[in-house]
This record gives sequence, C-alpha cells and structure tokens, in this order.
Amino acid sequence: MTSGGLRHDDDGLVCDDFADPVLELTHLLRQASGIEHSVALAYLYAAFSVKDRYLPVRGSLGPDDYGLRRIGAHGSQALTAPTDLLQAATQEMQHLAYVNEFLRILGSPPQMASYEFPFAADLFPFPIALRALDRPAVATFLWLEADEAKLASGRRRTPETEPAAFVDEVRAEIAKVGGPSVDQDRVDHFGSVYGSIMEVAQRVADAPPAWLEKDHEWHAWIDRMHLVLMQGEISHYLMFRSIFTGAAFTDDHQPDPGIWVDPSSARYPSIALASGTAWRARPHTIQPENARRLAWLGNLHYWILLGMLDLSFRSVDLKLRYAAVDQMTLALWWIGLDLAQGYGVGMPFDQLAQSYAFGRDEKIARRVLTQLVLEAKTQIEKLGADGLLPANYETSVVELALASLQ
Amino acid sequence: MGIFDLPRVHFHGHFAVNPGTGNNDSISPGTGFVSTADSQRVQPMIGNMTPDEFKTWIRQLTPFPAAPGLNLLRGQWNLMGDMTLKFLDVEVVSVQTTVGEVITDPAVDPLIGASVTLEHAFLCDNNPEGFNTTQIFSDALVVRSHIDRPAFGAASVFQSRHPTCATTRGINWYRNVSFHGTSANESSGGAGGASAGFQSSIEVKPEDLLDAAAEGTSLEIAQHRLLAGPYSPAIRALVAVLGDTARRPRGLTFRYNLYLSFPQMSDAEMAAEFAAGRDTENPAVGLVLGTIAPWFDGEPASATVGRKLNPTTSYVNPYRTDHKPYFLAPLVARVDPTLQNVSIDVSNTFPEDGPDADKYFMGDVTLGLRDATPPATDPNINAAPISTIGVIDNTKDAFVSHGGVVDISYAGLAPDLRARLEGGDAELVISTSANGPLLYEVEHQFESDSQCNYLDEPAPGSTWADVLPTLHVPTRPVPLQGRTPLVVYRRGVPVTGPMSLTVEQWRMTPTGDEDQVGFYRWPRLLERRTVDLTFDAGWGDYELEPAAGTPGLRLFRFVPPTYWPQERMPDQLDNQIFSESVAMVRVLPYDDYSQLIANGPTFADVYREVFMYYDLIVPAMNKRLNMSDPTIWNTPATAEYVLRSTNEAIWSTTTYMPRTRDLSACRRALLVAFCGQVIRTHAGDAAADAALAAAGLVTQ
Repeated sequence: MTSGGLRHDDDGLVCDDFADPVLELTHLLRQASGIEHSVALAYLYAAFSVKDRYLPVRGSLGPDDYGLRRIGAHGSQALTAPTDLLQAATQEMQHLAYVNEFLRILGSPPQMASYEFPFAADLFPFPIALRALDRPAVATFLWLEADEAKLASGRRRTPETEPAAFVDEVRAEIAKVGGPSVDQDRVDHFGSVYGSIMEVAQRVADAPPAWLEKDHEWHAWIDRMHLVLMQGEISHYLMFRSIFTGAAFTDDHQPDPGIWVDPSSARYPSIALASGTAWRARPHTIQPENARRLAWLGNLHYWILLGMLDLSFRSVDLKLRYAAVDQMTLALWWIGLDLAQGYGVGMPFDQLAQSYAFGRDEKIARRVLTQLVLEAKTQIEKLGADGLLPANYETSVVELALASLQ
Repeated sequence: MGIFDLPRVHFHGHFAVNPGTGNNDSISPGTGFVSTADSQRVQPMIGNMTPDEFKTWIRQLTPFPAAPGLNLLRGQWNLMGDMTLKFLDVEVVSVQTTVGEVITDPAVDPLIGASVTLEHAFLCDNNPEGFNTTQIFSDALVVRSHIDRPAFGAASVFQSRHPTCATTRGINWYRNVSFHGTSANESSGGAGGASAGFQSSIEVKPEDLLDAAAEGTSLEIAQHRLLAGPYSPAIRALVAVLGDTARRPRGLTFRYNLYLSFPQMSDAEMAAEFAAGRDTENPAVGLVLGTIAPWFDGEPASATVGRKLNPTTSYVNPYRTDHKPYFLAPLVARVDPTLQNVSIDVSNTFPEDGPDADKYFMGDVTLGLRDATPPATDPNINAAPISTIGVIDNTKDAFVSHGGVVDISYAGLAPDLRARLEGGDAELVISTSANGPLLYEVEHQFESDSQCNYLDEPAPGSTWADVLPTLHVPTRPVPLQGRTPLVVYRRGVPVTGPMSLTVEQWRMTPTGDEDQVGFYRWPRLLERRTVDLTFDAGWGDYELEPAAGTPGLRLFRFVPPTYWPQERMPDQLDNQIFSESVAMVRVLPYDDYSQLIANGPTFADVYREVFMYYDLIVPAMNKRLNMSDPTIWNTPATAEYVLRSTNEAIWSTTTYMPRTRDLSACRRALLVAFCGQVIRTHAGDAAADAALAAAGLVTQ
C-alpha cells in the first residue's frame, strides 16, 4: 500500500492534486494521520524489543503517559527533556490527535486507520516496517524525522547538514532494509508533509469557505502543525541520533557504534522479535499459540482504543480519549512488553478495518464497542485462568471501558 | 520604558471573548442581581434545589429589579462561556522605528498586515463578582507575516515564549458615550461602552537572536527564534535593540486595549436557546488595539510606568439624560529629554461615539504643563496657567494607526518650558477646548506588578502571621507568594529610599450583603494603616495580610501622601477604580476534610465539595469532561490528568485547572486523595506513587 497521492518532484512534496485547498488540506491531513499512526506503532514495536538494561532508552510508563498533553509554546520546556522511545511514540499519538482535531474542523471524519505493514510510502524511499530495534530501523527513523538539511547529500547539502560520513552511514543502513536505495537528491521526510500542510492551510486561512466554522483560529492550527514538525525534526531526531551512534546506551553518553555489531552480545540493545499476525490460520500466524492468544488480546485492546478515539473525535467527547489512554497504559503496553520479553514475539497491531467507526451512528458504535470489550473480557478470563496474563496487566481495564461507553 | 521605547509595532482588529458569567452575581458597580454563587465559600447557592433543578433555574429569565419590565438571565449573558479570548482578524497596522514616523505601507515593511494572535489565551477574574480583576493567560504571542516576504529572518512566523499574566489596567466605564451594544439593555452584558487595558511581557534570550547557532541542540530556542532579515526594518531595529546588552534588554512587552465589546445575543434570545435544550455560547466581540515594544530590565511586566495622569473632573455626556458624570480614563506619559519628545499612551483614555468606534468630538485636545498641584490637593483648584506642549490628534484614524501612542516633539519649545517639562516641579495636563483640563499628573505613580493574588485561609489555630512567611518563596508563582511587588515613580523617575504611605484594605466580595442575600453592597473599608516601605530603583514589595478572618476578595489601596483624594467613598472607589493604585488578594476558604480523606473520599464526596460548583456555575467545563459523571473521574488517565493539571508548578500556565483558579488547598487535597485512590486501585501502587510524586506530593 502506498501513501496514496503524496507525490514529490525534485523540489519536494507536491500538493496540488486538488484545485480546492480545503480538499487538498483534508487529503494531506488524512495522509499525515495514517503516517503518524503507523510511525507510532513502529516506535512502540521497537520499544518493546529493547532490553531491560536499557530502560532509559525504552522508556517507562510515567505520569505524563497517562493523560492527554498539549504541545504549545509554554510546554516547550518539557519538550527539551531527553526523549525515549515510549515518549516518542506517545508524542506521535498526540500528533495523531492534533491532526484529527484539525480534520474535524474541516468537517472531516476522524482517520484512525493505520497503514498495513510494511508500509511502502511513496513519500519515503523505504518501507516503514514493524521491526525490533536495530541499526537499519533506527536509520529509517532518523530519515523520517530529519529536516530537509540534516541528511542531505550532493547539491542539497547546507551548513546544517550532518558530516558526510554520518550521512553515508545512515544511508547505508537504510539500504539494508530491503527497500529501494535512497535517492541522492530525494528530500522528503516527515516534515515535508507538515510543511505542505502548513502551506495549504495558509491558503485555506487566506480565503476560508463560508461553510467552515466562522472566525476559526486558522493561525493557531498552523502554529500547532509547526510545533508538531519541530518536535520531530529536533527532539525525535536527536533521540534517534543518539541511539544510532550508540550514545544513548553508554553511561557517559559518548558514541559507541560498536554496540550494534553483534546481535548475540549481551550489550546489544534489543532482542530479536518474531513477527506475525494474531489472526488464526494465516501463513504468518504467531507461534506459539499462547503468544498468539495474548497477541489477540493485544489486538482487541488496540481496536477498542481506536474505536474509542474515533467516537471521541466525532463527538468531541474527551471522556473516551481518557478511556483510550487507559487501554494503552493498563493493558496494551504490558501485553506488548510481555510478548517481546517473554515470547520473543512482536505485537502484531493487526488492522481490523479501513475505518474504526464501528456503527452507522454513535449509539450503535457504542454498542459494537461494548461487544468488543466483552469479547476482550472473555479472552482475559481465559488467559487469566491459564496464568498467561502479564504481571502488570490490569484487568479492571474492562470495567473502566464498559463504564466509559455507557 | 514600557511601550514607549522604539521600535514599536502597533496592531488592531477584532477579538472574541467568551467568559463564563454564572458567578457574576451583580450587573455593574452598585447594581445587584441574582446571587447564584457564594464566592466566599466557592459553592453554588443551590438552596433546596437539586443540581438538575438548579441547572434549569440558572438558565431562566427573572425580573431585573433595577429596570421594571425587563427580564434577564439568572446566570447572566454567557453562562456557557469557556473563558477563551481569541484575536480574530488582528493585524499589524503600523510600525515605528523613529519618533514621529509611522510606517503603514507593507511595501516598506512586510510586518504591516502580519497577523497577531494570542495562543490559547483565556481570562479569569480574580474577583468573580467584580469588574477590574480580569487576568489574561496565554501560551504565546504569535506574529505571522506573509510567507513570501518573511519578517523574521527566513521565517515568516515569530512565536514568543510564555507571556506573563496580564491584569486589568484601568476599567473604563466611560469609553463610549452613546453605544453599549446591539442588545442595549436587553442583555446583562451591556459592556459595549466600557474598555480596559492589559499588558504582558515576554522573555527573549540572547540565543534567540543568533542565526541558527543553537539549532539542533534546543527546541526551546529554535521555537522562539527572533531573527532580523532583509525585509522588515522594524524587526531589524528590534533585534538590534534586544542585542544591545548595554541597555539591559529583557524581551518584549505588549499592551493592548479591549473596547467596544458586547455579546451578540440578548438574554431573552439566550433563554430561548436554553429552553430549546441548546447550551449556546454567547461570546462578546469587540475591538483590540495594541503595541509591542522592547522590554528592559527594571521595568514591570504588567504595566507601563512613567508619569501618570488621573481625572480632574467629569464632563457632560450629551447622550445621557440622567446626568451621570463621565470621566477620561487615566494615562501614562513619558518625557524623553534625549529625543525631546513626550509620548502618551491614550489607548484607554478618549471616548468613542457610536458603534463604528469614531472618536467622540471634544474640541481641540492639548497636552499642557502647569505648576504642580500641591500634594493631596484637589487639582481643580489649581489655577496656574497652562502652557501648551502640543496638540493631540483625537481622530479614529490617528488613534488606530499610532496604536494609541501619541508622540509630541517639544524640541521647538522655549528653553525654559523645556526645562520645566523635564524637571520635577510642574505637572502635565490634558485639556479639551470643550471641557478644560480633564486629566492632570499625579506626583507619584504607584503600580503593583502582581495585581491579582491568591491566599488560602489559615486553618483554625493558625494565623496569617504564621502562614505568610512560609509563602514568600521566590520559586512559587508570584501571585501565590502573599506579597506583591510594587513600583513607584515620581514624575517619571524611579523612587529610591524610604516612603511612608497609607494602605487601605477593602472587602470587595461578596458584593451581596451577608444579611440580605442578593442585595448589593458597596465595598467596605476594613482597615486603614500607615506603612513605611523602602524602594530601590523604584521597586519594593508589600505583604498582603488580610485584615479579617473570612474568605473573599480584599483590595489593597495604596495611597501615597501626595495623592488626591486621600480617602474615597465606597461608590467612588468602585466607579473610579481606574484612578487607583491597587492590589487584590482572593482568600480561598478553609475546609476540614481530614475525616473524608481518612475514610477514603468517594466520587459523591468530591462532587459535592468540589465538582458541583463547576458543574453548575462554570458549566463549560462539562463540554470536555462531564463533572457529574463518575465514570470519567474513576479512570486513572483522568486522575493523572487532574493531579497534573492542578499542580501549583503550572499555576501560571494555560494548562492549569481549574481555569477559575479558585481551587483551595483543602479541596485540592481532597481531590488528590481521591485521584491517588483511583490510580492505586486501577494502575497499582507504583503508578499512584509516581503520579503523586510528579504532582509535587509526598506519597502516602
């Protein structure tokens, strides 16, 4: 699957498929939503694989991960704090929320579906995959988050570009991923999408159609998109750079690329993960069966979470957004960790549908979601009876979800 | 000094303000209405009603005693307001890099036409029943020029750091002589005839001015970069000033005046909306005029200081048949001997006439100079001749294009007059040919740089003397420190040394009579004392010790020995508060929840003691999270949110909750106990301990 319609020419992303800027902006935001979602999953998947000894790189659930946060000028102090993989994933989810808020203002339904993995975006010169943390994976993350100068080569190099040897090293690692090689002149990164969003949003702001909300704070939304872009290009980039060089894993934070040399070494940052699906009777169904059962429960929580977010963005109901956070912090995080650390299996994040609007109207969507929660409850009871639930998994997540859907 | 330094960037446009009015209680100074909330106890006045009955009741019309035949909403004009403040189409209208030159052509400077917004701005009243204690919080001042001709180096956008809180500077009840909003008296929010000034300041770091030097190492710097470029002379000048360390720059200050603001729907129309089941918001839309200028070390963040002019006497408003006296609002001036220039901030001063904001014609308006009025003496008996310094162009176009800042050169005046102007023995006067002198210079300008403050009532057995010293911690938000920084200038010069002055303390809230609920009563003088303070380069501070034990709002009136009048009648104080030097402190109530906390508070406890007030009186909060729905508040994600958002460490930011800033320490303790319990139940002890620690609390 491609990112659909995101094209680029020699100068970067092209965003003129629609003559009408509102249609173009909606299209771009939907693409951004899918990418944010996919990247959040990729970061989470990688985080699950990080060895316990490197907890500061993986990240731990902390107070900041339990609630909704807002990026903004005053919050910039917090954004300068060292970032870990969990925080980066959390921030991508926040970006997902921002993008969907913006979509709502444009009158569009939420976009909660991820892309299927591996996600071969025609925006990026490699597929985005769910991979255990290894150096090629980190190189792709670096590429995603880099601004247009950092990893440029040839005529696009600027004073802000990384040393040529570093750029070559990153590109060489990306080439190992198996996708097409990195075009020497290609400049598109995550920021390209947001740069285009800001440009088109400005066009909408200059002449907003009458059917959109009157007196809308267009500039505030453009600024928020700018902050999202900066968080990636600065904060996330620096984190992945320190992981790529090995500095994130050393006590003195000095680069140690040797840490990536031997996957069998105790020093190696991550464990290998077997990937597959939790759907049964597929060519790549997860083995062993106990891991598959746990992964299936993980899928249920993931789908419940997406269904709740979909409902929340349709109805502006923050209650369901908090309930969705509970699904992550009380259940999904612990399942992902247990699958990786206990079974050597990656959380599949299987996609259920193209849309997570589970009903033709809100009432029915709540009913269907409730059924999904009850399905999870049944699974929890069976796994619990077999002693297969992770130690930190909170079974009360079911009651909380049911209460929030009443 | 303040907004007078160059370069100046002036902006203008419309704003929308969406305050919640459920706790207003009174309509205007001296005019009581329905008491819906007990501001002392921070509780709804629910009586024998159930919460649902109260929700219906507060959304209904009731006769307005002051105007027989008129019905107004009990919750007043915007019960559903969420307290946001939005700049709608606000743009830079002009820039000034030199005195006397006003650039309005975007071809000369691409900053002209740039949009100006306040990110996530909202307002809350320190005194929910009062009129002059509005605080404005925001995340950032954002200026956005056209992308093809960026004003900030290669960037078209400047996004500031967190602006300091702005507080009402001079509520002016006399701003429009003929227009009070399209609903006229059919709205409880007939404020179209009023205005008020606000001022915030913003830190700019030296690194912000460096081209990409810190890029890649600090998002905080990258986010707030302020760079000169080829296109904007004003930004080049600004960056040069901010980079001149000899001048000790701190950043930017911006002052804005909000006027001609009124709600779009009448109370009767709103009542119909409520009756139809629609919780409609009714924001007021008005005009904003403002100025951005450099901010220097030693200057207050929330006010411009210099030489202050107060009203002498009233003038006759020909539109009023009730002969209500009208006054010009005070202004601040600066005399700059280097530039031989007097700058005057008239943004809040001269009245408009009608809905189009045309200036009310008052004849020729002149700035003059006369021998100073003797200390503490009525300026109206000062018969000294007035020498004209210059003429003020009191037209709408001039007002807007200059951002309300008038420059008058005195280079051409006779040497002796120039010397008197720059000396300390003469006073500035604003006169109109129609009414004579209407403003005169007071000898001392006295300003609190933290006008709106909060304290918690001491527990039984404890006194203010015990409590206040523990609050004087520099790392706490200044409004919570139990003291206010004061700035005093004498005819434009900062005062150094001891100063004896009178400090009065008034009870402002509740405005309802304690013995006759709902009956308005004027502020009540509680105490008058003489204090000796010491100032250093204009700065001192004053401990805000409430005089009596009950919660509510206290106003401290600072009266230098030179000030006239030394004493005010209560109604005068309320109506002419704009002339006074004041600081407020809201005392939040003490409640003993020790037993509830020991027993483990239930949601019903938390609702009754904390959430019910917001559910009924500030119902906009329900639009995001329903305050009466236990399923929301019993989830760990929400509990974490409550702990984080009520943390004192973020009190000065826009994410602090409740926005009303009326959550007492006791009630927060109750909430914390409840939230800790929720997290412990659902997410385990480790998560609860971490959450409580992050919230600045010792784990239990």
